[in-house]
Amino acid sequence: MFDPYNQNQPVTPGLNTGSATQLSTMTPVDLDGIRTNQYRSGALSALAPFLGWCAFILAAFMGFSAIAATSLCNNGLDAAACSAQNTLWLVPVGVLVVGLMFAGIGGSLAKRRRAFPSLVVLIAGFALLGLATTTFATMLGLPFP
Amino acid sequence: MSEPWWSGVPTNVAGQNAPTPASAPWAPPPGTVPQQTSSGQHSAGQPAQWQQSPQTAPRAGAPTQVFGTPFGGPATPADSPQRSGNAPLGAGPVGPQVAAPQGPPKPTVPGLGFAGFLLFVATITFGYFVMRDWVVDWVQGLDSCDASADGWSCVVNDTTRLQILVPTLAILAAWSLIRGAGVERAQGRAVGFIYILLGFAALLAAWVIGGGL
Repeated sequence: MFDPYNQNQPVTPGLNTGSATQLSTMTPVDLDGIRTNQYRSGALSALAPFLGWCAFILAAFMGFSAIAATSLCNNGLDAAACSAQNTLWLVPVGVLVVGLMFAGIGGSLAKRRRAFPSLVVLIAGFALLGLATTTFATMLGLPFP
Repeated sequence: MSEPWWSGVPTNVAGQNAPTPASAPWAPPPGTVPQQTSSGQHSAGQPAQWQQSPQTAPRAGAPTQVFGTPFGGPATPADSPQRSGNAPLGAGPVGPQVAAPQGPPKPTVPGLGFAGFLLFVATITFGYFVMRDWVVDWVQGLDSCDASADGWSCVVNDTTRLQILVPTLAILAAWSLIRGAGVERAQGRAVGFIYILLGFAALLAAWVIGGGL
């Protein structure tokens, strides 16, 4: 036990135990587990908002396309969109919600220096947007985008 | 034996009777009190003279009861002529306050912020002077579209994709790259310049593709 009245004060910074310490609190300490990256990835920080913007733009174009297809169906257009008018609106809403969710998750992981999980989430988000676009074009029965 | 650094006689500011010897405040054990120096002071900046007791130090002048006992005895009056009440135990005359240590300076990349600003201005310029004409022409072309089965190809065609969709994505990509460059700039990494160049390349590609029709 450190006795402040019979021993000299330690002159080196560190744990005040009265003797030299083997572990310095002045330097970074290696932790167990998955080591986080040292830097935040600027590419992932750029990709996450781009996914969000793409989801927003794609949902808007899908919405306008659904409106145009519905109007054309009333004027004699014969396409698959005319029989799927009620469910056509679900795709742009789903694209907007899922796209923004994946963009938020990917951006949050990138901010916490989790590069690989962020990349996986963002790639999954873009893949879902591509799948939704293909599905919407099939439901529309017309060239899209 | 030299005079202790603390007289051992408390001053009761509450006006009550002085404590009895049985309840006298604690005094440091014998042999642990340092010799009183002639100057009794150490100027600011010199290392504290740690003696055998951490609570001992050269005194400023005539021994006056300045501080409370180590175990929370009665404190001294605030108008002590020797020291302020806020001086730490065992310290000499109160010197200039040491500023709190500041953290390391935030890293930055010179020129990267201005480059990002230039890219943002370029996106605004591209959207206002180039893309606006394309959008106006496309909207005016919709008036000639007949609301029939062939109307869909009038709305969705190569012109729509290359002069509306691609420039929009290029502008959004440039904005996203500006943000990525900002993140790199905050970490002191010059790779942000590559993101700015990619942003300019996206705008240039959208301009060439859209203008090639």
